[in-house]
Amino acid sequence: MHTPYQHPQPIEILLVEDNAGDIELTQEAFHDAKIVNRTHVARNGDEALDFLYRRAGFRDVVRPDVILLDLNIPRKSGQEVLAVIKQDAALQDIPVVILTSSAAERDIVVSYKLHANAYIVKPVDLAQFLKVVETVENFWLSVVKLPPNPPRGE
Amino acid sequence: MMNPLMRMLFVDDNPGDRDLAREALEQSGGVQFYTACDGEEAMAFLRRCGAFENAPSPHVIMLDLNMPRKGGLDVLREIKADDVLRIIPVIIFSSSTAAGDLHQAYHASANAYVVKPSTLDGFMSAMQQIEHFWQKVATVIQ
Amino acid sequence: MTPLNILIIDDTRADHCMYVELLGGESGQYHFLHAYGGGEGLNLYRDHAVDCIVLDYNLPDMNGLDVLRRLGDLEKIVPVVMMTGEGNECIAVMAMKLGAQDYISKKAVTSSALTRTIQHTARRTELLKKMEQYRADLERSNHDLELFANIVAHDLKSPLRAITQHLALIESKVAGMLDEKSHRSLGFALDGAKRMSALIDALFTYARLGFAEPNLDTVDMQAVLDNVRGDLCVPIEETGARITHDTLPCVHGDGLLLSQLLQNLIANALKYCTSTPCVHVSALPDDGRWRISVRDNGIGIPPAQHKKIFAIFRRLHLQEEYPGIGLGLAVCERIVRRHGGAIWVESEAGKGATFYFTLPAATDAVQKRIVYG
Repeated sequence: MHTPYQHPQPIEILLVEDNAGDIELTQEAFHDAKIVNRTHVARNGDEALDFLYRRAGFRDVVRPDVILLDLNIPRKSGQEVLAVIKQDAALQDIPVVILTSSAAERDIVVSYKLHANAYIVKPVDLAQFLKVVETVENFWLSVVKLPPNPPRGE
Repeated sequence: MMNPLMRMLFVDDNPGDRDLAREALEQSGGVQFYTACDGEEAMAFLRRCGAFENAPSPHVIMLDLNMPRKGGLDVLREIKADDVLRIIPVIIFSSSTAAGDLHQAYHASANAYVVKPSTLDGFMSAMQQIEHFWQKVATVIQ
Repeated sequence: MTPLNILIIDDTRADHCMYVELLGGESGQYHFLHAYGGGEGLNLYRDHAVDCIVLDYNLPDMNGLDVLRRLGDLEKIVPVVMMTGEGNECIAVMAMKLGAQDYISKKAVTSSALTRTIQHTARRTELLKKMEQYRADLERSNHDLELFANIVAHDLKSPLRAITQHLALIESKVAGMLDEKSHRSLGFALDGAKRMSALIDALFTYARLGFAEPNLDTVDMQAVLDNVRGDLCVPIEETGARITHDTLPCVHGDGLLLSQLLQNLIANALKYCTSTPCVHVSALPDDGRWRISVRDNGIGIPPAQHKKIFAIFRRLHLQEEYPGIGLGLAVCERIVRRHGGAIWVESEAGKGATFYFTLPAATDAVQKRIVYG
């Protein structure tokens, strides 16, 4: 608590998304970001949790600093993944931004109740989509101060 | 998805900061700005008690940490424990950069933590980016 | 002189009598406490102020090493003299590892040997305990200082932020309406606030060097220089500076602090220069340490000021000539001192300056092979 906390770079982003096109667009957008970052991809709910718990082929992965989560994914649903993350003391402080096509109020309410940090409805328009990803990057990687990493071994 | 007029509750015991925040958002005209000067007033506003019985429900809350009587962390915990209030995004807005404060805020389910910039331009820019994200990009419950 | 309380833990009464006799009996010098088993000994130790324990290995309920272990649970530093039987060196070694201060062979014990050992053990324990007390006091004092510095820095910066931001707001609103003088005044006020903020940060950094523990590791000074070059890229580009170096070694130190050290020195070299700055960093071995130098072609420092410049807030120039706070070299000096080294300058006015500082060599003897950069 001596000096002001500085989040180490690069910032590690976990993108949980099954749509190949969206994956490519999102990765491309983050690649050009001002803040040095690395995106990792999980294509379904099980893979996402394997990544976070460093099991089944994900033994050496890093702990993500922020998670972009689509609700509409195969195997475990986005909401199930969200619930697991936010109920696990070791993972719950990682910001989870829901980035999904559903605008249904029920989905929005449930997500915020499960402590999603933000909910974003994916625009259909390509240009708008890129703008949204850019705003996410601007806001969550430079305006927001991300939680400190727990010490190694935790 | 656009939120037509975003209602923001700004909780801070520092009147200078309340003024600056209002100033920053005034230009855009997209935010209806409400303030509370400490934790107790904030909770009274949110629960529509006493003088605040006609208070509207805010779309987003900005919350300072260091306040007398009831501090930001206590307010945050109360909001996140309340079944109705917890869906409102809470952004901690504090001058503290201490890792301990960051950790506690996120652990208490703060949606985001923003450090108050020390320059005027920085402060204005931060407020405007917060507005831009929550008003124009993110979807919140109306 | 107050008598020493000696606790004898031994299962044989005859041995108790022997020790008492060797030490001159119940004179004014010693008071004796007698225990015939480990448990009894531990109880007596807990209930009395004991200056020295004479501990036998063979006891009915546990052995001497067990007693030592239990004593170690009660207190960090225990004044134990272990009595060993014939040919039992390994027990003696174990006993020392478990915290015994000394050991004597029972067969070879004489009056003078026992007296000497007991006196030494008692004194040594007293001193060790004092040291431990000082260490604990220092730790607490450092902790208080750290807390104080954190609070001061935070509480001072808060109203300062209000001044800075609201003055800037006023400026933005009334800029067109102000006359020349008022405009300048406002500028001075804003500058003052900015300086104060920088001062608080610098002072906090300086104070921190007094209480924070350095993070010691093997540090590659070449990598440090590369980082510093990156951090100073703006002034380097603005001045067109050339920074060269010889092969730089690995040292034993705190990477962050050493970065700050090098950055302060090179930033000064860039600042106090009237032509295109040329900075050269090199290193030479110096009696088991490394002597690193930062040479510049700047305005130089007259010999009379060579010691003065390292003092806190000591500047040689007006703000208008060269802006600054006067802490950069004071911070350098503290950092070098924390590493057990020294820092000094060789320079003359108008002829550039070379700053030298010494650092401990890396503990692993691996020296990085560097390609000239």
